[in-house]
This record gives sequence, C-alpha cells and structure tokens, in this order.
Amino acid sequence: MDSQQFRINEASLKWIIFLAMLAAVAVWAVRGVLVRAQQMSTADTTVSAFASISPGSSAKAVVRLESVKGNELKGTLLERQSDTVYLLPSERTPPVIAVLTSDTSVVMGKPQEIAVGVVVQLGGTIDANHVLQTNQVVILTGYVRVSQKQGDSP
Amino acid sequence: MNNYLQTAFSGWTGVLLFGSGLAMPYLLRRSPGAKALYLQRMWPHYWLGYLTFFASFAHAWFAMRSWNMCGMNLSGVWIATVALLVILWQIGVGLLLRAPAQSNRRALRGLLFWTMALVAGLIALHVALNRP
Repeated sequence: MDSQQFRINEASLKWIIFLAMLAAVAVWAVRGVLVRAQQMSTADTTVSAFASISPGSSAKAVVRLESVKGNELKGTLLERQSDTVYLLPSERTPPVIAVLTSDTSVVMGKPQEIAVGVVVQLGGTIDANHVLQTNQVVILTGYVRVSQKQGDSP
Repeated sequence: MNNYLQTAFSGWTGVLLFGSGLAMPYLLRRSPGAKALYLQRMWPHYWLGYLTFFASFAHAWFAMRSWNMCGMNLSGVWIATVALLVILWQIGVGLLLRAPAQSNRRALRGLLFWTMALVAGLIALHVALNRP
C-alpha cells in the first residue's frame, strides 16, 4: 500500500483539528441545553390533582413559596397557562407543604435562593401527612412569570 | 421551555460562529497553492463576523421577548449588551481592514485582535453569570 496516500499536510491537519474542536463544543453545548431543558420541563399539576395524590406516590408541583422555615417550605400551587406563564389561583387554596431532605438537589440555582416569593418546582414523594418529601427543587424565578388568574372570582 | 431553547441555541450558535470566525485568519493565512489573495480568501471570516452579530442579536431578542428578566443576573445582562456593541464595533474595524488600500493596517489589525480578545472575555463572563 502506498503510504503517500495517507500523508496529511499542515493546512489539512489544522482544518481537521478545528472542525473536530467545533464539533466537540457543539455537541457539548447541545447536550447541556437539552439536559437543562429537560430539567426545566415544568409540571402541570392542578390543586385538585395535587390533593388527590396518594401517599407514596411521586409528585411535582410548581409553587410560589410563602414561607421558608428551615427545611420546611409552604407555598401556593400555581396553575400552568403556558411554558412561561403560571397563574395564581383566584380562590384561597390549601398550601403545598414540602420538606427538604438530605437527598434534595437544587437545579438551576443555589440552595440559598430558596426564599419567600421565589417560584420553584418541587419534585418528590407524598408522605402519609400529605407533605411532599422533596428530592428536587428547580428554581424557576426568572424563567416563568406569575399572573393573577382572572374571571373565576365574582 | 421553547423560549429557553431558542435563547440557548441562538446564544451557543453565536459562540460557535464567533469561535469559528476568530479561527479563520489562522486557518486561511498560509494556504499552499492558494490562488486568491489573502483578503479575498478571508471571506468566511467576514461572513462569520456578520453572522455572529445577527446570532447575538437574535439571542438578545429571544431572551428579552418574553422572559421575566427580574431573576437574571443583571451584571451578566449588561456584559452581554456591551459585548453586542463591541461586536458591532469590531465589524466596523473589520470593514476598514477589508479595503486593500488601507494604509493603517498594522494598527487596525492589533485593534481587531484585542477587540476579539475583549469580546471573548465578555462572552465567557456572560455565560458564567447567566447560564441557568
């Protein structure tokens, strides 16, 4: 076999390295975006659906935090209107009570960002007292907008 | 989520176009057997520069169109705004360098290089501060 066929000149080698680096960065970026998009895919759990989840079942809910006391969170469940708009219920609804556990991971933010007024998606398991034992908190403030639900109240 | 995807993909497209654009002068500088003049061979560099600006503008547009900006790191947003303006400035300097009769080529090339370095730094800061 003629070894001359496989000789790569300096210019071709530079282009090959450049294209390989470009492809690697593109794959890394696309993968990162898709992973984050998957993490950001928000729940569409209504108040009645959340209330009917049986103990031991997994649940996800988007809430606006009204109280943060240590590991205990209380918030108002928000209803999804679109990917980026969530509605506050027009009527008073029972708060979602959740507990942060040692397994809780915080996505798209830091644990210090979990505070009153922040919009989060809580994911976890409902316990016997209908408290959400949280294993994932996604900080959504900045990515979703909260509006007041209109038309239901007299 | 669509807004996030549009914003993220347009942003990373801008980064890849910018990176490709800055690599072009080094890739096209010495092409053995090239018949065209250096400034003519540099057309991918010019177009990547223009496309970088448009991708960055689209990225800013998608980000500001419907997102609630109050949760964003404002320093990162300002850094991105400055970077967008500097890219526009860089296009202006590049257009001056495209003229074959340009007498101040050495100084302008230095300016273009350091502007590129500034934009690269601003982009890195923006990604670090505003990446979810």
